[in-house]
Amino acid sequence: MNILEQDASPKITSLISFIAVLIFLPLLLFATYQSITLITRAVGTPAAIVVDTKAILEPIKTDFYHAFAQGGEESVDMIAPVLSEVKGLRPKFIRLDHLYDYYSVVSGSGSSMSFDFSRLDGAVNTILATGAKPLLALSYMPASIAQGGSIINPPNDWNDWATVVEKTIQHYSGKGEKNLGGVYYEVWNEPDLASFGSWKLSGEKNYLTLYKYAADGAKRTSNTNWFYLGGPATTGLYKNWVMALASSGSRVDFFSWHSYLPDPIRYTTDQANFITWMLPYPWHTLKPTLITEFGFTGDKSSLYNSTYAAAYTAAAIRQMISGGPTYVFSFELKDGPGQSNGWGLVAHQNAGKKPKPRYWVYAFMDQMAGNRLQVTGEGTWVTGFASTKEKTIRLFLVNFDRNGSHVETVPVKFTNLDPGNYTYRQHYLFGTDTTTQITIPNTISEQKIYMGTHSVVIIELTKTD
Amino acid sequence: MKNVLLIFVGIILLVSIPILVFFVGQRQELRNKAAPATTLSITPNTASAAVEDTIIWKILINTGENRVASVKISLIFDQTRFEAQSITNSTLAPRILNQGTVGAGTATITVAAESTAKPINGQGEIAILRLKALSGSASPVTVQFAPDTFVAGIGEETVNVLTSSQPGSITITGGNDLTAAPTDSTIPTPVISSPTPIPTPVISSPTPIPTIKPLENLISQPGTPSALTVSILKEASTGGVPVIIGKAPPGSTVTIVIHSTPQTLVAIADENGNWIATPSSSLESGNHTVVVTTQNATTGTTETTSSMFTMETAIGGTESTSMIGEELPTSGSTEITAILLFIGSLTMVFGGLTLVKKYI
Repeated sequence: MNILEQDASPKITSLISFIAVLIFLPLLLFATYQSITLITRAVGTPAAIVVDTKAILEPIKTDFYHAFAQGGEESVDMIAPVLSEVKGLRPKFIRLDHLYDYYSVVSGSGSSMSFDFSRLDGAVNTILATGAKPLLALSYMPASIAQGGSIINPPNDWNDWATVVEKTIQHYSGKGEKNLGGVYYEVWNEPDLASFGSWKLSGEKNYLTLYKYAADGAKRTSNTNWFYLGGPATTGLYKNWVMALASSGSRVDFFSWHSYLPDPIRYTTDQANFITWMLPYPWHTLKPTLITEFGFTGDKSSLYNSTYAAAYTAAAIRQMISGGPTYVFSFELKDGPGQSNGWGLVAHQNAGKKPKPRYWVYAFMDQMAGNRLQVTGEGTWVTGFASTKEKTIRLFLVNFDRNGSHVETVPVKFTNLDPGNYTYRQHYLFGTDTTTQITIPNTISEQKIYMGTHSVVIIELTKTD
Repeated sequence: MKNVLLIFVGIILLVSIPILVFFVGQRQELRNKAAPATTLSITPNTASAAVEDTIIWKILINTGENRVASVKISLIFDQTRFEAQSITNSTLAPRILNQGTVGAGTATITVAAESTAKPINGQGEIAILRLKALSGSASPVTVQFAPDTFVAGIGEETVNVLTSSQPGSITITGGNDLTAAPTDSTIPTPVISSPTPIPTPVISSPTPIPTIKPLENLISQPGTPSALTVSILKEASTGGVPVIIGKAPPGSTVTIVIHSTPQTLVAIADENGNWIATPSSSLESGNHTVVVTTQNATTGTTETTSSMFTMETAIGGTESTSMIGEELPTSGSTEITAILLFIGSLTMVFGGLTLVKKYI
């Protein structure tokens, strides 16, 4: 027996044992959790891509992801200082919220209510100058008509809210005024979020009431171009919200929601769920669906400054490339002042207006325009799609690992090729761009493509004879 | 007096013309909701194929008088015979609502019309499935529609306007003949949440069920006169769980899919053709569509009928069901049109007689 054993009484031994268990049990649990996490990360299917170059599927749309949202980081026209950078994104739609609390549009209430769109016009004119159309999120409640003056409260008189919506739509879509066609008007922004009012589907803060009076306002407009009115712009795709709106009896021209989803595959399941839910309302299945904000997290993150965000965006777009939403809006165009971990695609002008990695994804993916080709063998981390246009066959691959470390060498096979000479190009986003001449004697071409962490690549085969 | 008569005849003509124009307009707009009449079928591009060949299967629709918004195509096949490669839309369905996904023995896609103004109507191709042949077969092997296939009509009597579907078949030559394993036995069966063998349903209501209730107790009716029927038994429904009953060929297996969050049930028709099913869990409040399918074991042909109902209280209360409305109501009215026709005819006859009396 050693000295410790000799001196320790049974009580002390028990006490020390108990304390040791208290200390080490959490450590053991933590270690177990970490081990499981690591094992889970390692489990997955590597890709083995086969492109059938003669199996032509539907045309690929490249417009739907050229949509961007700008949050309310500042109560000014935020896009004007980065106009040329935003133009470079070739935006089709740009979304703005905070219309009524940042741009001093409404003053007074009831019969003495008056409207001044001059400041909001400035922001909308900037959007038009980028080549995009505006999506205006009708938010938030003008303080002059809101209960208690709070912009996230219902109005004192719902008819005032209807008038606000009427005047806004009339101003931008009216043929005698701004004369804009095809503008989307989205009722509110993230109504389910506490910051924006914690609206429900019943009670005093009933979103359906908010929406109904917005629809009433839209109905009162006259001599307008076609416009879209929709919602509910919730923080996620929630069945009770979209179904309640679908069956509300109000005019609904589009359905919208936000998607902050760590796993890109969820975009496919969300879309499938939405259509499944809407099957009892066939006319609704044909209406536009808009994801009016998307990203891998709704929180600020320094990962938005990295290639992680670029790979995520590419992987998410791959999931939506067939049967996806009408438009998906990347959030957001520009960082707020002093933000080092903002969502912006472009840094604030005070920080040099520098485009971040995600900025370059959209133009890169535009190269994939054409008819989609059949691809089999996508994996857990490396996914992709292929297209054909004129004499060129393209394969897009992205390696996205939400845990951030996966690398893979992917076997790629093109089948049913016409024998002959080809230009082979391998173009990595943020990497090398190499071109070689090759001869394909039979109908198959095989390569091994190294996919580094969060890499994105396009492989091109162009027939030269 | 002559002037008075002329003025009178003129007035009659002036009144008659707009009435007749209005009547013609009414006739043009008059359209009754059509009963479900849509059929689906599958056609391979060749009668036989060799192992390793890629077979292109055309998914065809015939909408009859229906106007179709979207079609959820769900296909099943023997995964030991075929490897699924891709599924996409085709000419008559220009939009894809849910991207095509293929798996082991399954392929699904939801395709759609361009818009409500341009619904899918008529006959044609709505999707294309590519399968690679894996093994040979002495007898034809089939690709068939799964019970959750759904054809959504616009402004029709029921939402799902599918009435029947026809599988496609092909003989695969070469390779190992795996016919020892019966073809149909390897076709994946739908996920069954609550197999409900009849005739002893679990229903809290003391009302005995096995006999079909008279019409007044049913809140929905089948869309087509057929051996296959479905109804929701309002009296027996409790706690958000509806009782679904119907008729089918005696002894046949009936697959029931309840939307919008799909629940699949299976029942077997008794010797009188009656079947009954109850969902395993309560349904949420709102609109639901129930799609009932039976399959001819020999031909693989399926017959489908659908019904709609609304659960107004799902949990913790007595539910009530009612037929749901539709966004696009039937245009025109038979009664009003008949009255206008009568008035118009009377006016014309009276005007004509007046003219005849005056000039002859």
